[in-house]
Amino acid sequence: MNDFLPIFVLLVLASGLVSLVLLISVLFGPRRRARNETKLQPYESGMRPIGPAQRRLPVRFYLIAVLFILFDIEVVFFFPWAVALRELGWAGLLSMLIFIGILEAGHFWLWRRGALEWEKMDK
Amino acid sequence: MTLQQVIFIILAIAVIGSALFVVTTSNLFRGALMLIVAFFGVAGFYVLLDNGLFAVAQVMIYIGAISILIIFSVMLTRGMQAMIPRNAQAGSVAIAAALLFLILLLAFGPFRLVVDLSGVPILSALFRTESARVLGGVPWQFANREVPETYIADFGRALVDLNQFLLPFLLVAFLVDAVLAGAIYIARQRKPAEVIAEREAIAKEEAEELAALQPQPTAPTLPQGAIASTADH
Repeated sequence: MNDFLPIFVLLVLASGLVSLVLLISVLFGPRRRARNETKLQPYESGMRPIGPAQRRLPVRFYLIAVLFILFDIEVVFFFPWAVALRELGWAGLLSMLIFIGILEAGHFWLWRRGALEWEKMDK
Repeated sequence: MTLQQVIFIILAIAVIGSALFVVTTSNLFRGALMLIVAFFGVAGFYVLLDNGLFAVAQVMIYIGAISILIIFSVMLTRGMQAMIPRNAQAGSVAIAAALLFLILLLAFGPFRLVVDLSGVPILSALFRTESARVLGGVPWQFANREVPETYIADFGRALVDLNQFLLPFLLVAFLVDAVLAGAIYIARQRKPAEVIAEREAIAKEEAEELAALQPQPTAPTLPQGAIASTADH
């Protein structure tokens, strides 16, 4: 619990700083409403904005996100294992190598299938 | 009030506030972003319960991966951001959910030691279900049990111990492989004609959307490069 106190302090400081900066800009910022329509436009490198800012992403990102979750779960298992690594010795290392081996087989398979390549999947 | 209680109250306000925003907002994208705040608050609860491991897992899996997946899903789905969904049943659903929660809390929560609902005619059926046997059998802990200092190392040791959790641990790897295969199958290669037809339909709908969103029809024509850069995804 006490190990996490710095993180909490950081959260409080970060949110406090953000509120402070917003408050200052409200207090000291110009208050005149922009009548000019050009001033209300979002900035897009001096170009006239084309379409909405929130565009659709290619569906390929979904697969990347799913694969990321799977390998993220793998990493979570490393965490307690790594804390106890010294006393676990060779048996612990071997067990983790089997675990990684099974997952690497899947990783290798999806690599061979071309799932990690951006262009291969829809040609 | 101790520091723990202050932190708990701040976290509770943040979690309940952001969770309420998630279920009431009509903007799905903002809802997905506020869900991250709620997840973070839950990670804070784990820290308060002296379970740093769960807090780390919560931040890594829920905030790091699942939130990203939800945000991607919103951004992948056409018209999801512009859509304004309306829910006319929100009030009645809220009342029904609150009532059900109250019944479950009274029936199976810590209060069941004080109030016995098993004699009430309609509710008695609830007590004959399998989940009642499971939930009712939970020995609720009120005592303040100390968490050992070495709990993360203990967990790591149990994970690779043949007599404890080595087999389930390795089965998790197979499970992850199975999910991997499923994800690849969903995003599999399709016939070129199928893909081309779908892309043409999407391009047509996007052009219609763009035409509807154009603020002034008399806007000067844009340079050719600007249009091409939005179309190449």
